[in-house]
Amino acid sequence: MRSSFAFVARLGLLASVLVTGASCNTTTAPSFDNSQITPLVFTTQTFAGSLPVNGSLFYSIVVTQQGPVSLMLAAVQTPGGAALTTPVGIGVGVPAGTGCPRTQSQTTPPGLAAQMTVTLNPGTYCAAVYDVGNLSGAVNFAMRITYP
Amino acid sequence: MVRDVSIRVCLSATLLTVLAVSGCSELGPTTPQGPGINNPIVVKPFSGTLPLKGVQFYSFTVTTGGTTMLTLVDAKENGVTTEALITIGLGSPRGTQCLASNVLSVKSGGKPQVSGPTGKGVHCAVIFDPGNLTSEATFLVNIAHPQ
Repeated sequence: MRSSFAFVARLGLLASVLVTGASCNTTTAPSFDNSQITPLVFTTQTFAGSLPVNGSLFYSIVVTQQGPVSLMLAAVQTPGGAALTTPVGIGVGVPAGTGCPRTQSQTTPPGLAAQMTVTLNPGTYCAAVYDVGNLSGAVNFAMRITYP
Repeated sequence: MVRDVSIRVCLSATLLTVLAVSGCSELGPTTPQGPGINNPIVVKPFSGTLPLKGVQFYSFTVTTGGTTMLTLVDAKENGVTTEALITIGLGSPRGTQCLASNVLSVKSGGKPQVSGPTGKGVHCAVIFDPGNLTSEATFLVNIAHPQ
């Protein structure tokens, strides 16, 4: 009886030592090599032109790093230079045929903050501006495209 | 007689070895050839109207590398095939244009007039009037590119 008790006691002690040893290792924060991280370098292009009624125009870009691509429709104006708040369509796609089939798009008035931001892999893409049916005459526009 | 058979066996063995090493069999190639050589070709018709001194371009995506060929199949001014030289070329879409690196002024014909290597990615075929047209022209360019 006594030897059984001693055996159980030793077993318990061994178990507690194992548990303690397993759970009380010193923890250290994971380390990684910062030199492996490539900082994103952004390019900004201005895409400006005259958008006809029911028209669509696009601008091709080459994204060299995966990252955010932002479109800012900065201004829409009459040919005479008067500012307009008319919403027009903007979008992103891949050039194909004679156009820019859009994979993402939205309708937006001009403004001084990016209206669309999408994350893209390296490759050739296009940014489009198009009339969604709001124009009664051709307008001038300016869009800022920022991409890595 | 025995010697003839030995020679034939030896020659056959040598031939089989050479064929095996070179990747050939009676049924054709057995090993992959160079990139782009056996890739399926897609032919896309690029047609439109070219204004005087105007430019038009057509973008296409290549998923495997290979050679792309352009043929100005037809160009007409006022419905009549023109003898004017028109420039066609291969390049990459940049900004609002097709930045061409390989161009040639040609008359319409049945054979490919411009060809060049196209790697994986988006490319474009461009046609423009260098100043030879006397009126706008309708055109058809066939773009034969690897998939």
